[in-house]
Parts: sequence; C-alpha cells; structure tokens
Amino acid sequence: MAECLPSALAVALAGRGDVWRGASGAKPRTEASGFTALDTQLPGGGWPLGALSELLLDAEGVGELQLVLPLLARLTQANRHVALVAPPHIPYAPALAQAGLVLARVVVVDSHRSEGVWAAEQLLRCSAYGAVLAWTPQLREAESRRLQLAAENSGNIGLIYRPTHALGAASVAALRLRLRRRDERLEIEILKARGGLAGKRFFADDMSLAGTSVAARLPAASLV
Amino acid sequence: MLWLAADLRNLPLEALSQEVSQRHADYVVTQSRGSRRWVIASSNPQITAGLDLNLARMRRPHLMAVERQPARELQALETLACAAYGFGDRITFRIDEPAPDFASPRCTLWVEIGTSLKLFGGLDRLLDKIEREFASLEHCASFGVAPTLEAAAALARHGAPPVCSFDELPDALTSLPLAALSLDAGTRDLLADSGLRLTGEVLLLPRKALTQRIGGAAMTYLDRLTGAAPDLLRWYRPPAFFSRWLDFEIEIEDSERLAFPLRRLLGELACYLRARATGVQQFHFEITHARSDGREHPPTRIAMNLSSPSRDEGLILRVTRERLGTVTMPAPARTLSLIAKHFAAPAGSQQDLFDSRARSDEDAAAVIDRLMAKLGTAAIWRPAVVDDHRPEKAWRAMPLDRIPSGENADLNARPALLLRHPQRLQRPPSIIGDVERIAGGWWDEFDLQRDYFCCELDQGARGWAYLDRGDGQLYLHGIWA
Repeated sequence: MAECLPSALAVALAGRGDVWRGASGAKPRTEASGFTALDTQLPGGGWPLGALSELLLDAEGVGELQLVLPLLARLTQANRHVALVAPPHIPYAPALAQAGLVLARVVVVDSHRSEGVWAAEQLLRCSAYGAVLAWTPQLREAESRRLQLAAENSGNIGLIYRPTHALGAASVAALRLRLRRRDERLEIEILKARGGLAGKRFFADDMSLAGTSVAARLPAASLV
Repeated sequence: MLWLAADLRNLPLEALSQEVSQRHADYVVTQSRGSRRWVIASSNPQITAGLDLNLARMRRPHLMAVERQPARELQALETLACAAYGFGDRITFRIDEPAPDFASPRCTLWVEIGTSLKLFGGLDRLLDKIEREFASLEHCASFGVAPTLEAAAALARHGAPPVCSFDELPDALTSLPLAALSLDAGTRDLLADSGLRLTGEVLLLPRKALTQRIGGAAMTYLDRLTGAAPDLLRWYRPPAFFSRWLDFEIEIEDSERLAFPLRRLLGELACYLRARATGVQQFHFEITHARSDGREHPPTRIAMNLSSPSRDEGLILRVTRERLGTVTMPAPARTLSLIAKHFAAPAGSQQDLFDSRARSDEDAAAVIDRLMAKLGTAAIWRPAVVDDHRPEKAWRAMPLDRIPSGENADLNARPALLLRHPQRLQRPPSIIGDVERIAGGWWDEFDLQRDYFCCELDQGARGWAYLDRGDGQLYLHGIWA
C-alpha cells in the first residue's frame, strides 16, 4: 500500500495517530466468534478486542445473540465475566445455559437509556469483564466515543446493538455489522471494519435456523 | 524540632479571585473598622499598608479598592498547608488580626521540617523547593527557620537567616527588632516608650517586673519565643470535605472567562487530594449569579462525574473545561464554588504484583457496587436456571451475591430472549418446525396448557409463540435473538 502514496505523504500520514489505513498494518487483536464464515471475513479473524463493535439490526430476532453466544460461552468458561446491559427482553437462562455460558459469570443490568450507556461504560472499563453487550436504541456520538475509549483502556470487547436506522449516524466503532434475515439465513454485511475492507456481504452459514440452537461448547483453552 | 515559618505578607491580595489583578494595575485590599478604611495590602509599592484609603486615593485617583475576604484567606492558607504536607506532617497556621493600630493582618504558616531535612538534602534545597511550590500556587512568602514556632515566625518577618539549634537562638533574638514579634500594639508601644527596641533588651529585664508591666499573656508569648514554654497547638489535618469558593470582585459575564478561576480552584483541589493521598470522582461546581433584568437567578449547579477517581489536575481540568463549555449562564457570575465530598484512591497504572485474577474480581465487585448504588440493587442480577419445564418457571433472577446452582431441565432448544409478559398475536403467524406441548403445573397453581412453536415475525425475524389451549389465543413468548 505504501508504494501507492508519495513517500513524504506516507510518512506524514504514518506519524498521525488519528489516521488508520484500511486492510494494512498490524492486524487487530481479536477473539474468534466461533463462526467460520464470520471469522474469515473479519480482520484479525474475530471480534476486535479493546474496541466497540456495532451490530445493526433490521428487527430483533434475526439471530443477533446467537452470533455472540459462542464468544460469551468461551469467555465465561475462561473465568471472565460478561454483562448484558439493558436487554429489551429477559435474557433467558435455559437458552444461555444451552449455549454453554457459565451463568455464574453472567450479569444482567436493567436500566433506562442514559443509565444504560453509563452502566455499559463502567463495565467496559473493568478488566474483569471480557465482553459487554449493550442494547442502545439511541446512542449519541459522544457516548459511543466514551464506550470506545472505555473498551480501549481495558482491552474488553464491547458489543452494541442498534437499530438499522442508526446506519447513517457517525460511529467510532472499530467494527460495524448489519444483520438481517434473508432466505431463512442470517446475512451479515460489513459496514466498517478497522484494519479490513468494508462492503462484504455473506451468510453466517454454520449458523443454524431458529429453533436448533448452536450450543457450541468450544474449548476454553483457545482464549487469549 | 525545627520549624519553618512562612510569612505570607500578601495573602489578603493573593487570596482574591485575581479578576481584579487582570483588569486593574493599581489595586489595594482594605480593611474597615467603623468609618475608617485602610490599606492592608497593595499591588503598588508606593502605597504602603496602614495607609488610609482616602489618602491613598488622593495619591492614586484610579485606585481600585477591594475589601478583604478573611474566609478566603483561610482557604488559601489551607491550600498552602496541603502543599506543605509534602515537607512535614506537623502543620499549623494562624492569622493575627491587626491590632487597634492600623496595620496588616499577619498570616503565618508553620511546618515542622526537622524530620525531613535529610530527605530533601539539606535546608537550602528544602527552602528552594517549598518556595517554588508556593510560587506555583501563586503565593510568595518569606521564610524563617528556628527551633520554636514564634521565633521562626519572627525571623521570617524580619527576613533573618535560619537558626537551626537552641544554642544559636538567643544570639539571633538579641538583634531582632520588637516590631517583628507578635506582641499586641499596646505592649509594643509600652516597651518602645521605655526606650526598648530590640528583643534582646526585653529578654534581659527582670522577669517579675516585666510580667507586671506587660501582663501574663505577653510573657507567655516571650517564653514560647525562647522555648521556655511549650507550644500548645493543634496540627492541621485536611478536612473530610473539600469546599472552596471564589468571590468575584468584578462580575464575570462570559463562561469562557470562568476558566481562569476554575483552574485556580482545581489547583487547590489537586493540592488537597495530594495531601490526603486520594482521588476524586464526583464533585460539583456552583455558580451564583448577579441580579439581572430586575430578578434573581437561581445558582447554576454543574455536577461532574469522572469515570474513575483521579487526582490528575490536568485531566480534571480538561474534563471540567469541556463541561463548562456547555454551560450558558443566565446572568453574570458572582461566585464560583467547588465542592467535593466523595473521595477514592485512584486506581493508578500499577503493575500487577500478585494474582491478577484476584484483583480483577475485586474490580468486578467495585463496578457492581457502583452500578447498584446508582440503579438500585434489583436492577443487577444473574440469570439462573431452575429445573422446571414451564418456560416462566425455568429461570430466575438471582442476586449477585449468590451463585446460581440450579440444574438445567432437559429442555428442547429455547430462545435467547423471553418476553416479560406473553404478548397476544393479532394474526396467526406462519409456523416453522415442530410443535412442543408444554402442560401441567396444577401443583403450584401455575397450570399451563400450551402448544409452543417457532414462527416468523416481521422482516424474517423469528419468534417463539404458543397457542393457549385454555382461551384458544396465540401469544408471542420469546425471540430467537
């Protein structure tokens, strides 16, 4: 990539902390999602650590939790805590247990909108929490910046669920995925991927249809 | 013991908000008694302390005069005391009010430095360091060192060289003028009228006769000066709360202009935090406003909440400035106060010395505490499974201090999100896959007769619905999220 640019410009750009170059340089540190189709498409091969990932949903019930349950299962099995902040419904214990989560390390936080963002930030900042999932229907840019900063400081994975109408909103998240159900399958579109290329669309192939849960118990040893 | 005394001659001037100094070259701080108002500190060396304000105004017609703020002077002394904590742990301060003759108040701060001389590599270095420390807080002082408190203060006022032992003290006091002592004006006049000018001359007088003339209190003072009587003092301890304010002599119209006084208050806060070896996470500002448009305005309160405790002055200032930028003031500001009541040691970026897991569990507990404090205990819970085949009964919200131990019933696949209350479906959805009959529960009066199935919702989303065989209606109960 560097050859494409005049060297002086390349040097000037390289010296800036706020400029990052797509699909180049060091791969981000990641944690595998447990879905091969997704992992091969994501830069670094999984959910980015120490960063915010946004999952934009057309509607709830497209498999948005199924997509992250294997990650949560692995984290809790490796003694990390995970938190679900302001979920729209009850995170259903039998389903979480079926997916292999160690429920003793799962925390649910019920809260209103603004407090939800605050709670997510507090949890993200805490190194004991491997991943924090937050449902934030309305997230201001400043708030998402705070969350991103909190994740950066602790190295945790921040996963944010937002409705698709937030598509046009400015975002500091390292990864933005749009999730929707098409042809009986979950289609993932990469809207933005730091360190990778955006615009790809694919199906989470190995993700089962509703009703036949993944329940993948992945070995805990593979955790970073 | 070795005492370092700082004579803060300009404290009445330095304690003010500095708004005046930025706008006026010539200004004085005054004190009033009855109808008289006289200068106690001045920015102009031509106008000396003790001068009547009217006389001063005759010399300098454009003189700005500000009345003294004793409460603020004490706050400034407290800040200096916090700064002095870096040099010794026995600290005390005092303001001697001007006696009936019209002179300035004497503001003195003492630190015991005998135990820390070695640490700082000698007296010269220590003096240099403390002088710079005070200068960074925009205070200038003259220093005196002696084995007794009063002698140190007297030497500081006179600008005499340090005295490091009791043996040297009598010599040093001999040539000290009486004006440097903290004697009341009556006593000083009495001694001066007797032709006495130097401390040494007074100390040579027969004790009994002297006591009769000057009284017991002055005699005790002389004894404390020479070390013959002990000093009974309370050492300064930083208070449990931090509360400081600045009274603007000139109202501030623009919130931008508040940045300067803000920095001053935060500097004082940082000093306090260092002295207490702690950090702050929540604090608030209050701006009181002048009357405008013929009405009062309620004070503007700005609550600050840092994400983690800090005593980093720069960081706190940055965050606060940003916050202040969003504030619009209904009327010019008259005072700015800063109040902090909750302190916690900053986490710091220390390396893990022991097991990082134990620490991370501790962190986890701390963050949960914070969440519970704000959101209520019931808002934070753990999902737990219960061995029951009925969907509503197969889970439980468990308080965090208990470890979920329930066994999962051998269930079919369940959706990840369960609706809090089943929701009536208006039209029959398309069914996907098999139907699962869930029934029973007469034993605890939660009797179900339901046929569960997966169904398709809008935009291809999947739901978990059931047909209630009791009322024949369809309900949505879960989301295959």
